[in-house]
Amino acid sequence: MNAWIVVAEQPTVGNLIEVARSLGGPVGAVVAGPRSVAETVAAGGVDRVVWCSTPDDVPAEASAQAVADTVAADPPRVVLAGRNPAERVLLGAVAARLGAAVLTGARSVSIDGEKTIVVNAVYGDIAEETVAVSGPAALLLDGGSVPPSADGSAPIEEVSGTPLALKVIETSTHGFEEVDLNSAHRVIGVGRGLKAKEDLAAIEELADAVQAEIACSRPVAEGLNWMGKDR
Amino acid sequence: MRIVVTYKWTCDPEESTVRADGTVDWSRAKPGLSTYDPVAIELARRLADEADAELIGLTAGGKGVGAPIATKTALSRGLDRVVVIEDDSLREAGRSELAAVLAAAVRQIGDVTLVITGDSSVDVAAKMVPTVLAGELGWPAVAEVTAVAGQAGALRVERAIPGGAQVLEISGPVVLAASADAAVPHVPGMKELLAAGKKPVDLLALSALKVTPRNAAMTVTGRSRPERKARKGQLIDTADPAAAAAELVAALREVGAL
Repeated sequence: MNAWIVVAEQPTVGNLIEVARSLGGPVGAVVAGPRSVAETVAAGGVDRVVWCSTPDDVPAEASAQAVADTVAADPPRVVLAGRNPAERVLLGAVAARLGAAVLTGARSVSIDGEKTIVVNAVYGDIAEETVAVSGPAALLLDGGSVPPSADGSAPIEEVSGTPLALKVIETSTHGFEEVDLNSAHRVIGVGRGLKAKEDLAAIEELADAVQAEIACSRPVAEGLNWMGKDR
Repeated sequence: MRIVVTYKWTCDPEESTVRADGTVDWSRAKPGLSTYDPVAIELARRLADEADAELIGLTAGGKGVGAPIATKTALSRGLDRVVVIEDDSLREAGRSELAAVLAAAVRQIGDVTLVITGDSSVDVAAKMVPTVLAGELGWPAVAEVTAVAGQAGALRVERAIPGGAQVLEISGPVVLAASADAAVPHVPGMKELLAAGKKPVDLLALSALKVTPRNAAMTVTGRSRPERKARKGQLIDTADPAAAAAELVAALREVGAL
């Protein structure tokens, strides 16, 4: 395998597939989540899909060792994952198993002979480093939207190993509509200039009128809880 | 029961400057406890008190992480003792390498069934050290943890998921990465600051640890400082709302946002 993509509960890996394909060579995806996610990814232009199936009350993180087993059995040049907690956990298990180098600020990925070249943003994006990696590289990238359907679908290989000892006993929703800010054409940013939660209504009207998504500074989501943390 | 909480002694990039050649100048930055680590220590302290467990701080880094100012600052946050690996070869260590060193230290400490970490470090902010650490130990990991209760072998963990929250039951050893808002850290009082000076500091030599070697090597072949697009910084006077609205629309049209 040239590039493996690790996927958890959601198929937002369009950008990962694009980057993986740009490196040439076979692209595989290992999915820990519902079968529907594996199906979406299989139709998204990858060559191989391995689906780690688990009972409904087992979270994706419990499949971390099974995911690592899959990747180690067909070791790649790069392993890619999106910026979600569950995918970071899966990537961590893979990186440990492979003894891979880990980079989390990749602006671009390319090949130079045996080496993988990553232009990596560092220290909160204040500087960039060009890093030559020899050996396996585990990269965190923006997942991007759901991959478009390709002609034909990769076959799905189901594996069910022994999951790690995690069980979901309760799930609750916070009622905020979650959006993908990365794919918005326009974003309106707000912060604590808003005096009251009711002022958000005026911003929502503006957002509607100009077809924009609303993003906010950390205190608005975390401290004040006026918007979801995805904003 | 032993609980390990990892922490980082490092500088905030806000205090650094980036030279035109892309190298970072840290000379005017003062190191401190990474911003979200006190949250992790607070969460770990409460759990340790409930479970009657020993709370051990663990850190690995370059020269300075073992200095009294560093260890006392960490201890004063509520640790029972600290284990420190201070080795200048770790200054430029990648995330994977650092995680492998921490894992070796956890194995060395022995009888550890729970590792708690912060959300991410103030400087690198990779969010990967906790997950690679878990992989190195062969343990599960859970991130974005907002609450923990129970004993090792029977933990109840609450974590954020897209759209809401989930409660998990965890029946074995685990690495938990605390969300930045999991707890409001208390400010250490004078008693704690003084007591910190008397708590044990165990310095472990890197050469004495059995660190699983990496199969990859990274070489920095170039550095640059990205072009920063200057913010327009346009302030619209809202004394006359109708005029302000017109001015906003005109300004947005001018930059092509509308």
